[in-house]
Amino acid sequence: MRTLDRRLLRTILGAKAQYGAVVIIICIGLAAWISISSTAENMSTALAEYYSQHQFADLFADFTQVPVNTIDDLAKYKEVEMVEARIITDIRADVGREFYPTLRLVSIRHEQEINRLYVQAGRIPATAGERGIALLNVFARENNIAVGDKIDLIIRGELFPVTVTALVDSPEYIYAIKDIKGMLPDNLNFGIGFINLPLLQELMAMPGQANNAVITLRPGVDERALLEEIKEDFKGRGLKSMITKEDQVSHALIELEIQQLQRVSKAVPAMFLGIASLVIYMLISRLVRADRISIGILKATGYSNFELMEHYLKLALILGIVGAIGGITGGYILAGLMTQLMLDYFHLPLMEINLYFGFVFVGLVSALLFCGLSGIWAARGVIGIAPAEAMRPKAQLLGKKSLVEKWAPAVWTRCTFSWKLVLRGISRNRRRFVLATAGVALTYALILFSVYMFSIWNIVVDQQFGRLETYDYAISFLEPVGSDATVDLRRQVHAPIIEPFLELPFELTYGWHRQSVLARALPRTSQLYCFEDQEGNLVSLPSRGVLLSQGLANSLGVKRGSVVELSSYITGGQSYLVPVTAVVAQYLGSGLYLSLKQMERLTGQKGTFTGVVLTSSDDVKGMFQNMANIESICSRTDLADTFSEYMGVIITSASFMICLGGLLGFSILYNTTSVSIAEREREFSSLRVLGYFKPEIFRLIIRENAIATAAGLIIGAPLGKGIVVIMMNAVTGSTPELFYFPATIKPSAYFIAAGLVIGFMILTLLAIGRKVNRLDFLQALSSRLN
Amino acid sequence: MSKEVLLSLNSVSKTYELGEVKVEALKDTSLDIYKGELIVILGPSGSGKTTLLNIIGGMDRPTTGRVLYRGKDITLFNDKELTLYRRREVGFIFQLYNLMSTLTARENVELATELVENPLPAEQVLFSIGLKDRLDHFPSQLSGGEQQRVAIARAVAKNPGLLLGDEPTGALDYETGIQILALLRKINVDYGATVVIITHNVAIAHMADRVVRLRSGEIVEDRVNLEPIPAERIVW
Repeated sequence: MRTLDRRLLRTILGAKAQYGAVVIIICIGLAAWISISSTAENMSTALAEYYSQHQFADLFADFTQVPVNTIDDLAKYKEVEMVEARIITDIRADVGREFYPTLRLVSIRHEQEINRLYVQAGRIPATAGERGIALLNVFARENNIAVGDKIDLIIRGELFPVTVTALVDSPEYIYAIKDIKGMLPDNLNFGIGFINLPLLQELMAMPGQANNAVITLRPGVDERALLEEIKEDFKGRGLKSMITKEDQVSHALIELEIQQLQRVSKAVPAMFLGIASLVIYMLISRLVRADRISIGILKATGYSNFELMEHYLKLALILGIVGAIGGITGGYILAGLMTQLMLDYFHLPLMEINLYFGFVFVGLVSALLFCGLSGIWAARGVIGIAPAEAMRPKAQLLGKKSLVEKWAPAVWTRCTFSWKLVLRGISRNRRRFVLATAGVALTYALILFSVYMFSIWNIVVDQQFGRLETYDYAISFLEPVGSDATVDLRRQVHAPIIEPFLELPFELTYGWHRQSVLARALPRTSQLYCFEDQEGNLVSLPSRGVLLSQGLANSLGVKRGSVVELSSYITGGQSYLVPVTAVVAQYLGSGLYLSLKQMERLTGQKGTFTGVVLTSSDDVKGMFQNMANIESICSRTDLADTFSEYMGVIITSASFMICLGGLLGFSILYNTTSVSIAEREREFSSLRVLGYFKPEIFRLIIRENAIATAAGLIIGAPLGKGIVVIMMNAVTGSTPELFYFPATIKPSAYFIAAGLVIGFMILTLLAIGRKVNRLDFLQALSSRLN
Repeated sequence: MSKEVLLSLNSVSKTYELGEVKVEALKDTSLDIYKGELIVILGPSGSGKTTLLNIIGGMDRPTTGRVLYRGKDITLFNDKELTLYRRREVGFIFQLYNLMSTLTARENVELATELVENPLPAEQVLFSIGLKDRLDHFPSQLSGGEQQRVAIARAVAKNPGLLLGDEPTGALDYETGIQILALLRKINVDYGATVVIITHNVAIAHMADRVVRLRSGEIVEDRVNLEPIPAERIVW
């Protein structure tokens, strides 16, 4: 090893903590890049493979009960490759638990082509005469059901025993949720059961009929255009709604997750490597300044500018390489853990944990590029050092008035001497102060975002289930009921408020935007739905017109006062123009709300309802679960419980983010302060000679950092808000009709985040305090060693 | 002593511009340095002796005039050529030693030997100047005299044509100073090195082969010392 290289190594070892902090930032950046990118790639590859092997459908259509022949007509389109008519219906099932979970029955064919199942255990039920069912693996697992077990399907109040012949995964239900309002899978209370079409037709009393279709298209077909064409052709033929693969809930959510991962995988490393390169720049330029005489000597000895620049560049590259090695190793381990975590939510049977060397390569090159460029930029200071010049004592820094002195002389005159020292110090080293401030600002922004993530779920759940929907139970019926059903219910349960609702699918058009929606008609004076606009003002259901949820309005570009077009199979395809009287806050799912009267005007349906919502302290689920004609009973507590379970994941990831933010802030502040102390050794030594105590000198450093922290908090607040807005737009921007997160940060979040930043700053100062204590002031005054 | 000219300064001047003020550090200075001689350049503070040394050592360029080393005008050298000149031909010794604090005595010397093709072995040089037991000590573990010895070893080990000392005894006590001067003479004799010492200490002139006196940027005296005395006999 060359002597100069040995010197370099000793320089690094002499400031382990400082360089270690930079290495950690690089490690985090690269680990984030490799783990998140690999996870996204693992998911994306597995998804594509799964879809391809199992023929995931391109189009999904909901029909009213129609003859299979009607659905088979779809095969006449030349763009269509295959069509499969299906029955999909939600029922309840007795699986041996106290409460009956909702089971979505999906028909399959013996020679299933589209959305083929992935058999985890057992076999697909045989066609001839077997009363068998294949259950979604995750539902079976949660309910302790094994192959060979018998479960009872509850249809029209009757029990139909079936045997579980297989546990399966389905490309259509990778993320199995009942509807988007659930948002999170509740695999205990909602599952999918696959039954052969003839048996399901028999059970549902739908001989020769179906209510759903899945379609695959030939390559290169414009699916949107075809979808519009089919919708037009099938008007009045029972087509309720039709969506492309992109809007299929399971696919949309998994795609969204992949997109989110891809976005984060780029943003986080760029931010961390950017910060690392700034810190490296600061450290190396400081080293070059401190090495001024050494550089002079080395030049006098015959070392060239190139050799000396290379010397300092090596330092940057060593940091980059060490960081990259740590980051790649950590990234690989994290990729496994993250992929496993994703597997808990998304059931992708073909998913494997792979490390992609492309990501490793890009990560390594990026780390070397970021570090190398900052190293070159800082090391260029070497060129400016003339050997003869370097031997002379360095010129005194120009004494300049600080900004406070210039702009607020009255304040300046009232400052104590030590405060003046602090302000002058900041004024003299503006670049370092800016870096420290930027570090605090970024830390604050990151922590604020994490605290926001922490609180947003509470806001969303509170808005959805505490303010918008205030009922305790929602009961959906298999067949529409008359108004006497509410009277019957009231007899059986103590329910202070029972309100019926009628939910029907509509096609909502505004300009060139078109969206399939479920419109929910409610009594105008509903007490269990409380609508608020974006400003929090109460909004009542209009007698004429509709209310749209914020996400749906955003996706269509609709505003209050816009007139939208509504059509449905129930209206025989006829369109109606209806004004939007308000856009209301709803964060989960999308909603179109109207009065029962308005629904009657649109569809002619009067006195029929598809469900009820009610408040009750009774055990409604237990009381009604044996009732015929009940599709599902949802309790608000169940939903809240599902979200509480998910909060664990949120808390873990937010805490992780907070730690990352803190580490970032620690690293920047530790380095800027260390450099500040090193550069002002002589100044501090002089103060010691004057009679200053070490704690008094430490107080100067604390004050400098406190000012940087205060400035960082002021800048970090809007920065954090900006990150929240950008991230939330990115998260919900592509699917605002699925969910919509308000970018509202509670004032308490600002305070909590600021408290955490100050906490991290105190930790940094405690670490720095040891440095101040160890400073040998007399040595600093007399030292001429390099 | 042979009279082969190693380095020749012809009408060299150097002017520094400090804001609006111009300082003439050297004025039309001409001087020949002969191969193998030990020359002492005397002068008070501000007389221009460090400027002269820096120009001789290729660390600074004159404003006017020529500096010929073995017949080549080093004022015409570009940065790369000047660096090579310093690398191959010049060894510097500074008043404040200027050792690398993170390198041992041996490594400080190796730092220089790695640069040239035919260096003297670092250990041999350190042995010869009495640092046999101090090879692996860091500068902070050495006395001032020992540090200066390491600095001398660093300069000598490159086997340079010119050894330049800028107040090499300035930071040392009398006894140590004398030892260092004796060492410089030993190197001058043993290795045949041309040694240029600049100092304000008139007593040191007694050991020189030639004495040059500078005042206000001009040479006021250039005389051959017919009877140089051993360093050990110098008193100040």
